[in-house]
Amino acid sequence: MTAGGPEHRPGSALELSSSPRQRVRFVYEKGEAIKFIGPKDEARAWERTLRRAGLPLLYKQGFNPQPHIQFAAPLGLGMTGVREIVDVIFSPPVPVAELERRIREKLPPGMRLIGLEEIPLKAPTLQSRTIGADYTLVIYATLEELSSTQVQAHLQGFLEAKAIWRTRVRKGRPYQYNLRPLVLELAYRGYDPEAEAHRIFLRVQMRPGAAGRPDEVVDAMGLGDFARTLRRERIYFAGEPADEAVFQAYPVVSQEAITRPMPDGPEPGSRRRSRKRAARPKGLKSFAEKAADEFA
Amino acid sequence: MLRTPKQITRALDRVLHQVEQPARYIGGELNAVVKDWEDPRIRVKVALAFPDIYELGGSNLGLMILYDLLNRREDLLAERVYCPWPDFEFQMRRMGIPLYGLETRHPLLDFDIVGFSLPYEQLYTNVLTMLDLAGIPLRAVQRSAAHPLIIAGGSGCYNPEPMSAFFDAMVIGEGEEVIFEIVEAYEAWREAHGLPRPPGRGGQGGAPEFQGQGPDPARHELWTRLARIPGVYVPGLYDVRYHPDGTLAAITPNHPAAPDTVMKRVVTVLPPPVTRFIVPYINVVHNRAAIEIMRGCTRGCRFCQAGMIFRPVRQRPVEEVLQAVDEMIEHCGFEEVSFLSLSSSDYDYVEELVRRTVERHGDKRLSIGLPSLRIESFSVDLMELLERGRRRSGFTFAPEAATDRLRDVINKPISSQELLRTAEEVYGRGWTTIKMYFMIGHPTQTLADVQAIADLSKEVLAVGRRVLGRKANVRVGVSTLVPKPHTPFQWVPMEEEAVIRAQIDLLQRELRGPGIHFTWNEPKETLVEAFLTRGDRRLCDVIERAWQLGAKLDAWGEHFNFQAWQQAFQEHGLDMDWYARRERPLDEILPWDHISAGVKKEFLAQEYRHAYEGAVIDDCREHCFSCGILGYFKEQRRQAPDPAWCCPPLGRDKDRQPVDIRPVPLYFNPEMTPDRQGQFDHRVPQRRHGTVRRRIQPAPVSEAVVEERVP
Repeated sequence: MTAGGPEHRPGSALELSSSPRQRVRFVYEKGEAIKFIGPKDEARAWERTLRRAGLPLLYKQGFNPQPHIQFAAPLGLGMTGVREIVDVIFSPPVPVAELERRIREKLPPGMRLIGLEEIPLKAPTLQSRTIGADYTLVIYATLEELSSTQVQAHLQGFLEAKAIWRTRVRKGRPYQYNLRPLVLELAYRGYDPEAEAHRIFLRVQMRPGAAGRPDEVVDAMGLGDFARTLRRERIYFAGEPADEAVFQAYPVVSQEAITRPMPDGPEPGSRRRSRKRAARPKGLKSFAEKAADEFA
Repeated sequence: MLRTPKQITRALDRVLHQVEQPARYIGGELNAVVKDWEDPRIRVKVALAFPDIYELGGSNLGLMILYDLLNRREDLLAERVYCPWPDFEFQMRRMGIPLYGLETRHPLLDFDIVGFSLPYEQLYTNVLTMLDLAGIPLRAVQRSAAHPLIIAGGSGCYNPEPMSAFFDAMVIGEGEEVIFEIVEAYEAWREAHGLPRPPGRGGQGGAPEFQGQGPDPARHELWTRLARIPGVYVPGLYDVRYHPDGTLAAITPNHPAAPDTVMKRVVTVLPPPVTRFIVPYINVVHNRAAIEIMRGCTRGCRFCQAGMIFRPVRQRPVEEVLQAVDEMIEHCGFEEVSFLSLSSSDYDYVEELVRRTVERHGDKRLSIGLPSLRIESFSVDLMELLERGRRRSGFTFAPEAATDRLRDVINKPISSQELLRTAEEVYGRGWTTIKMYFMIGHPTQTLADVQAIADLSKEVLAVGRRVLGRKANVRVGVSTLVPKPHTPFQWVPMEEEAVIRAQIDLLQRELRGPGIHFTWNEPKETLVEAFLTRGDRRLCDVIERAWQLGAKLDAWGEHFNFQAWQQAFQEHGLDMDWYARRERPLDEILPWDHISAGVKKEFLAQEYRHAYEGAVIDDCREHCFSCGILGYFKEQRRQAPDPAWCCPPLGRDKDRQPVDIRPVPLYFNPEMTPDRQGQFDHRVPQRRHGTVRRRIQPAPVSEAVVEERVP
């Protein structure tokens, strides 16, 4: 038996809205050691860090309240980030210097705090303001496996294409989109013999509904089978003069301009999966599920 | 195969983005202990293996305790390893990646000792997958002195025979102390034989199999050293003879170092709890801290293996638990802590523990789990205190049988009346869900008892509808009794498949509609569990063959491969039903008779008879039934502080409970033994500890008199 999540008491909404709050923006690094954790896991890692540090997180109202932890642009599985940004709301406020000290002490391996600042509570959400991002695509291979000329040929092939249609699934439904116009820059940056790795620079548009993903670019170039690290170097935001200046050079690509419905109905794969699930009656439980359920 | 951590890391980079949930395979979590392999102080390196995927093994408290204990020693090192999911297994074989320790990515071959946890039988085939992926010969006799020592521990080892060929040694009982004795023995052996320390002992090609007849002599010598450690069973030092009908004729040691019976190990006092849990990044089952508040159970349910093998009951002082919670929050930051025991209600300080934890941490949004509460209103009070106006989740009951009569048979005497009264309290205080666990296939069970599961569930729902309205719902989980070794039901046959299916069908028909959710287990999966838990040494061949034929991840419905098991049994001329569904005579030698859980066979037999008579015995804190523990472990009892064990203290001037030679029933169920009616008091189901003072004068079982009853 387990007591439920955090508290929800009637009347607490009023009480909380009147207590002082503080919104803090953290800049941090998601390192190589944790590149394989997803955005939800990263959020949990932050929450636990703040709990270890004994900091007063503010929780949202609702049936299963979550803390106010908001990422600028969640990083996918297999990606690292040099300057990632997250906003957290505390109540009551904590002096910034103390926040910094306590959090540095408690961050898990693979995460490093770069900077933090208090920002106005009402500042617009970061997620709605992203316009683009820079990545370094690190492709691990010896020169015998993959020569620089070969990499450059892959790049060239990608850049010369007018349209590159890719299939993705959103809310369980597959759709197609054109990846090509989302890629603003793609350039070979040479081979590092020490690390045995090719480096490629990538700049993509990252606007709500029309964002280029680096893993898609690597796959589309035909380099998906190689070991790699996809490192986000920088995120660009609307409203930041320096960022907007960089992106003035590029056209804004809208969601409508790049998506089209699937040519012929749903993917065969999705149907197969649903049939497979139906093969096992609903109440039938495997032992592993039972073990997860019953034993501690 | 790749040999160095660097090679392995490179290969991982190459494949991990192609597998599901790659974070399972990389380690690097908070509180993981990464030690330097070049450090000359480190004498012995241990890999702790859980034979299922990371998400299931990561929260295993047993391995976490050993990990913590071993890594506290600066001369030892422990790393974790789990079974890969088939997608990654495929990549490992394709790329030549050997199974490796998560902390530093050294191949398993480079460790000195690999210790497997065997908490349940459905994981057995995964052990073979892991040994194979590590490049370690599957069978102990095929290993040379250059291979790591492969050992196992956990409840599965209480019948070690089905897996006996694959381990050099198996630990019976609690591992906290014996693990160090094994490490010492291993090291002494290595010094005596002048063997090099790993890594580097197999060279580039790994270690070759031992080719001679019988075990490698040097390795055999290690076996004899291990066999001298109390609680360590070395299967290779025993011979088994069979009768022509396939039953056992004898299991006898073939070496003077091996004892006739291997007695389990217990720790006198529970060591301090782990508070630096590894904090996983990905979502694992039981993604929380677990603090053991009590080990063992005094209730004596006759189907329950844990209740028998984890005796004696030892309690942790409440101060120690509270301090552990504080430390856990500081070190881990988990949102949830679970207080573990087999029966939380029986923890003497449970009320104080709950009250003080809520006082200290109630405002920090810490969820507190208190599993295995008894079905009574006190439990509802406790949960109310725990949740204090928070979101109401489910409330769990485990009546295990649906009629009063059958609950007397299994010695879990809760009355249906009390259950319904408690359900009313639960719904009345705002919980919407009651989960109920039942078993089918108990001895003497009839179809009427199965129908009663449906009826009782509906009655509970009706109570919910009445006091809470449409939101009320029940979830009913039904599993099939697997008669487990070292329990009073060990002689009982498992129910026939056709009967089980008919009963599940009945329940499926009855338990449908809004507000009722019914789950059950596939009878074939239960059958695999049954023959694996009840089998003898001949099953080693069957397990290996089934594994070759594709049996793996048996606990995962989508991988369960019954055909492989059928074919393997057929090829070896054995019959799974003979193992699983045969009633065993009391005088038959059981495959686990040379292993002792500290409970006397006569006690189990007496309890077996009691089941058919409808006799119920009491919570043994009220009255010692002389199960055997006190006799076998009297020295340890003397050393333990009086309140630390629930067994009566020994020695002069101690407040002694009466000790019976034979279990004296609390009462006989008149439905089952009308002839004994009137000899005992009326039914007194499920009493709270301390509600009855000492009872009984020593008396022969048939005339035992119950002295005093206070409701």
